[in-house]
Amino acid sequence: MKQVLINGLWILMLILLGGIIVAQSDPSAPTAIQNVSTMTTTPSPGAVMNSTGGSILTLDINATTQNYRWKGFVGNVTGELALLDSALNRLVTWNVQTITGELYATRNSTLITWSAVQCANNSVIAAEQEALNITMTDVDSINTTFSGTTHRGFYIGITQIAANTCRATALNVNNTQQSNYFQEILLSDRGNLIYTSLLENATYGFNNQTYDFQMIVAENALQGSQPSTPYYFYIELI
Amino acid sequence: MKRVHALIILVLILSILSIPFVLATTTPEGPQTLTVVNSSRRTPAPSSSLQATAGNVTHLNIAANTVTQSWQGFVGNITGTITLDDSRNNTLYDWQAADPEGEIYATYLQTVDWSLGNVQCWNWTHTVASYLQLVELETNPAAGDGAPNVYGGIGALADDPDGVNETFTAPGLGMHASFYVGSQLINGSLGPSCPITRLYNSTGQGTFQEVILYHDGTGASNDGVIYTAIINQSVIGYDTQRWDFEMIVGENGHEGDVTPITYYFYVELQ
Repeated sequence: MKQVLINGLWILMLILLGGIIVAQSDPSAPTAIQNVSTMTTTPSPGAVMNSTGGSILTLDINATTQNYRWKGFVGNVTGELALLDSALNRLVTWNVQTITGELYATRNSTLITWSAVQCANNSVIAAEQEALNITMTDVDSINTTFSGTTHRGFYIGITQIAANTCRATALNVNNTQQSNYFQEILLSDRGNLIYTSLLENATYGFNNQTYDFQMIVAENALQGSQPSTPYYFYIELI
Repeated sequence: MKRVHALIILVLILSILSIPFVLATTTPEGPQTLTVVNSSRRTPAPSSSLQATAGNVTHLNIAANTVTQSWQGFVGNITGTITLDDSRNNTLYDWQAADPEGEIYATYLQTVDWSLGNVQCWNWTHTVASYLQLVELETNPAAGDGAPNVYGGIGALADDPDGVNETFTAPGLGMHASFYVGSQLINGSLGPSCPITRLYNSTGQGTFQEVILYHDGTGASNDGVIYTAIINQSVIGYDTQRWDFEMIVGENGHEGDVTPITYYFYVELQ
């Protein structure tokens, strides 16, 4: 009887320990990322102007140019929650019907220290811009792009990010600026910048198609042919 | 707030549509709008009078201004948007640029292939038959050497004071700002630099850089020059007003020629 009680306590401790481990679950790398398509804009033909010599024409020009200093990711997420052991054997799984959580992207190739994640401060942003040859005062710098602080609150593992506390922006819906959906926030862990997109659930995106996420990340701002900057993605579903 | 944490994501697939993966694929393109605010030319000065008396020989020194018959000027301002669009021009995000940097291109060529290596400095000392020579642009681009037959040159003589080489420095002999045409570097250092001129501010100092590029479409009948203005940001121009660019383009107004040349404008913002 005493042995049964001891065994029961051990089981109870294991269950409690398991619970603690679960509560400390961090974002993880996605199992697969599928690049469905890559799109960019089609350049417009030249504007025509007839003119005769000896005169001076005053022109007002309005132009739109594709931004090579940023790249965008939009898409959908499918996944499931599971209880696994260390050998990845499944005890139980749950299909995720409603997508909620965050998608993270960082240039840092080593595993993020999730317990140290916090809002990115000015020095982290400045360091990222310097690394990517971005001028702080440019109209499309990271600093200028993420000049607002409007975002929902969320958790990273057990770390809470309160609403409207970090540098943030929101990506377009139906070609229109807005602030309620597809919010993107700048976080950091020990100096590494982490772009964080709050997942939506099949929400209309920039081109009026439904997506679970939209995200932009900075590229090397040097002109000319430059190698593409790799980003490492993590995701947390809740 | 009770929150359920993700345990471990076992199977997770992100379907990602990515917008430009490859860097520096931006190329010059036509502006959204190009509006002519006004067009003006020099008001002719009234005639000067002189009494003539029979039997006298009078020595005169005359100073006169005459409108050029070889060039057309453009000045103006530019506003722009730097955008992240897909192939249908849906905008994921954009940035407004009130005073953008970049270049404005004007060419009589109907099509330009802006791919790497196709547009470089015009080197009029490059003596290859299929390459546009200085005398050909000033007089008449030779038929059959790749120049479009729609363009007849600026009609200048070699010794005209407002010819091409009297207006622009020879290739390699003048410095200008370095810039990129798409992914092609245009080096403004002495040696590799382009023919350059500097258009005036209100005190006659050249503050608006313009260089001549060359589109080499050998065999495609679309070889020719591309006049390129390097954009300033609201700088005082020739008439004391602030402009983002000033540029001139060749146009033949000699011998009563009033036929306008069609120019195609492109813009590349940074």
